[in-house]
Amino acid sequence: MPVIGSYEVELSVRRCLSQREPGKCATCFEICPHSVFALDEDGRAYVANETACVGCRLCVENCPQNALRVRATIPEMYSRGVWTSRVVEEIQTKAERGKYFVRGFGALKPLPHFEDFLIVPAQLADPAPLDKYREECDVGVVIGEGRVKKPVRMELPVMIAAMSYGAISLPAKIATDLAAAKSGTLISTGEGGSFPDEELLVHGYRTREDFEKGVKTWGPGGYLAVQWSTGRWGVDLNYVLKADVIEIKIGQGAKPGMGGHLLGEKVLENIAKTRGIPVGTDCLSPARHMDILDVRKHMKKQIDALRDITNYEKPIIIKLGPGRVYKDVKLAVEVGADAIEIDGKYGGTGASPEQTTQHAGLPTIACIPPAVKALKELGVYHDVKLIIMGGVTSGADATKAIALGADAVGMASAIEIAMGCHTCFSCQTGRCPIGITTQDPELTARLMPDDTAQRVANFLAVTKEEVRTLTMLSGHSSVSELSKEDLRALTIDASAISGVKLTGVEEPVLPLKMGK
Amino acid sequence: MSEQLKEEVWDLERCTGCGLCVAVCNKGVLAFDESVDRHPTLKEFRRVVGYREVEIDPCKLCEEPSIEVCPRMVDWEPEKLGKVVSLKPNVTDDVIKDLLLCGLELGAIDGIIGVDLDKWNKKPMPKVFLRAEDMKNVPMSVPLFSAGLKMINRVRRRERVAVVGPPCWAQGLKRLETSTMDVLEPFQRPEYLKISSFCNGAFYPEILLKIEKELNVPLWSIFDVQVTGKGSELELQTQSGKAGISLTELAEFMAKGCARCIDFAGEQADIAIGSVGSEPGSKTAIIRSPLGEELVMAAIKLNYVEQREPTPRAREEIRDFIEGKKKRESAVEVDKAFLAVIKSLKKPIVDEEALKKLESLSSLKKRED
Repeated sequence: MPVIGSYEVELSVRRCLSQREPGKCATCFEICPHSVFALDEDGRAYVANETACVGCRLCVENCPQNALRVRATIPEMYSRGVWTSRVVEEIQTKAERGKYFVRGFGALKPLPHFEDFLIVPAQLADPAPLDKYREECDVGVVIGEGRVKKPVRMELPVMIAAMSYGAISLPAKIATDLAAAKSGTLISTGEGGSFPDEELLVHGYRTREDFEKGVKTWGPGGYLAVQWSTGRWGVDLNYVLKADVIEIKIGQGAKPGMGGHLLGEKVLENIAKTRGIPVGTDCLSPARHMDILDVRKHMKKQIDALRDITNYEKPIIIKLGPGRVYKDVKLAVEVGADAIEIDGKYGGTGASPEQTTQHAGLPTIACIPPAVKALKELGVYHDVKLIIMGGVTSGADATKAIALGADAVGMASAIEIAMGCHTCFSCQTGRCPIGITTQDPELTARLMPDDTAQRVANFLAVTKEEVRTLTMLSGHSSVSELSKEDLRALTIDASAISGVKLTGVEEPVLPLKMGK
Repeated sequence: MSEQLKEEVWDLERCTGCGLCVAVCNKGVLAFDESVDRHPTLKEFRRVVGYREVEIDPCKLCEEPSIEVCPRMVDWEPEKLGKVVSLKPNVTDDVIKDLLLCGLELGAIDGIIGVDLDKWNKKPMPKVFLRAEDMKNVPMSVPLFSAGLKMINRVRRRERVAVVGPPCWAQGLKRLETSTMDVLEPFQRPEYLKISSFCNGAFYPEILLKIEKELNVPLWSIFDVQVTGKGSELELQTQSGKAGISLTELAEFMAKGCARCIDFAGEQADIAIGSVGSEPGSKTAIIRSPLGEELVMAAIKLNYVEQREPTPRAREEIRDFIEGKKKRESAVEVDKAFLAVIKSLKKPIVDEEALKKLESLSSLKKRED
């Protein structure tokens, strides 16, 4: 039974043919099964009975002049149950194309998120709030302290997460590298290999001569993490040696349990060279490391080999998708990771099957408590760093993630948006109008690496400032002091997921029981 | 479905370019820019709806009046030559204009559809004229490819409208008038006074560029284009006088659809007017209906035009031209055979009609050999 007035029908008089030339067309009148439309004495179609509209949009689809709009006035779940126009459209698309839908960006549905928490400001009770303008606060994070010879000292608890060269354009890649150099943070290459001399840019040097002279052009200089991915695209000795960090990718938030996917159209000459594959071939990385049959044996051996090659200087990060986090983290620590990245459900992607993006994996905030628990049980909490990614949009989100138990966060979608992305959800087409997720020379020319790098660096600076402000107002002089006690959950769900106290009640909804 | 128009008319290059189908298209999905295209096209078939790209068939929910009115969809039987008079203009320099002025003055017509030339590039521009002064300096009927019947949309509220154009326009209007289709009713409200010019075929508008190059006449200075009485030359009236160019040189610019037309003297029109069979300065009018006769007689009575004696051989001369155009019948036969083949391919039962057509085609070829 349709709800009265749940849809609004708009007929554009300027476009409608029967309004302009009475007696013609009236397709809407003929096709509507609920008599929403009527004809006047001259034969003009008009919206006579809007309240009868059930939102099927047959008229919109068939109007030859594109003169009709149907808008839901109440959320469609009340008027259409599960058969919302989104679901109908998805089924129709599948029926018409006979193939599943691939799209860029991450999950687009409401999940428990950092928005469900608030930060508790300090007042009279201990600790007292710190003064942002006159006092110091340490927001830096060190990865591999006491574990490797050259630990990574990030100046802010935010890293630029993996976006591969190939998925994004060369100017976009250079822009993010420069931004990392300007902000002094870690940047991951993604699984697409690394273009020549990328490490110099990340460290802040313009050319090799500058590097030899020791003249830095950009900021304090960042750190380059190279991804040791399932596909091993572009992996060679030089690739490993040029890095500051080695990131072993197991999965990613947008499509956990699946390999990467770069369409052949995007594999141009430079990308093919960087990845070490023929031009124009589809670049499909495997879902798991094919040379690792037993994680405890083979992965450990591989990590040891990497440590040997890099002379025990470089931290090794394992990047996990949102799966059985508790067990995964335990295994990762066991095989010797110096830091663990967990990419939650809001994590982005260049192209991924719609169903995977929407329906596989766990919300970002649900990944943190089990990981923390695993680290604590192994006695390596804060020693092995926990980096959380997927849907981190601001300094507040970063602060909340750290308070939940992470050591740092990673951002990629937010960085893209800082670069100028307008979230048009068309990364998979390779026709990014900004010049980020495209390889078309005309489109990539729209992105100026220098200006874009400054935009990203600005964004990171503001994020850093936000983290600092929020940490200090909750009475801490270092981000590592933040804890669950500095958060309150707004919803029962968020409280139950994280064990954070519910606002007002001042108690967690359920005692946390995990790993049983 | 407009597939039929596409298959049977557009693809076989039989389109007359009259524009009637565009005017009556009930969904407004036919588009035709006659200065670029050779026939109308269906505007859009695929539409993006959300994530989907949907095949929309606007013709599915339509009675398809466009097919109903297309003059190329029927075989026209030859009509008898009616009353032939020779007329000399008294008011302007053109008989057609004088007749129209008379009609407007008497209130016999309250709208005129004719073809004007653009001021600068001289592309044909169909227009609706409602007042006598609008028609000043308008050539009214030029032998150029123009979709003038697109204009009938603008005269749906008039009582009686004169339409000045080639014979195919009259054929289209005849089909419109005799149709019983509901959706065509609004177009049947006005009575159409069909005035045809003698026609040996229309030319694509690019011809003007050729003329500009050949005769070295600037485009803007041309104000009328007509075929001469002998039918051998295209005559231009320019600011600096008259100029002519032989029709044989212009054969490539002849509209493709006209090669299939055997109607020279506007057989479905009320009045057909042309210079064949008259002294220079006068025009011959063939009156084929009481409505046409009424108008011509009134114009003579009120001295808008002067009745002259047609030349002694007028009827023979006109017949000669009609017979001349009849030679295109073989092209018509070829088309018919093609259509029969297309139809029989669609329903793969042996079609006797198709076989007959094929036989007649082979016999035609033998005759030519």
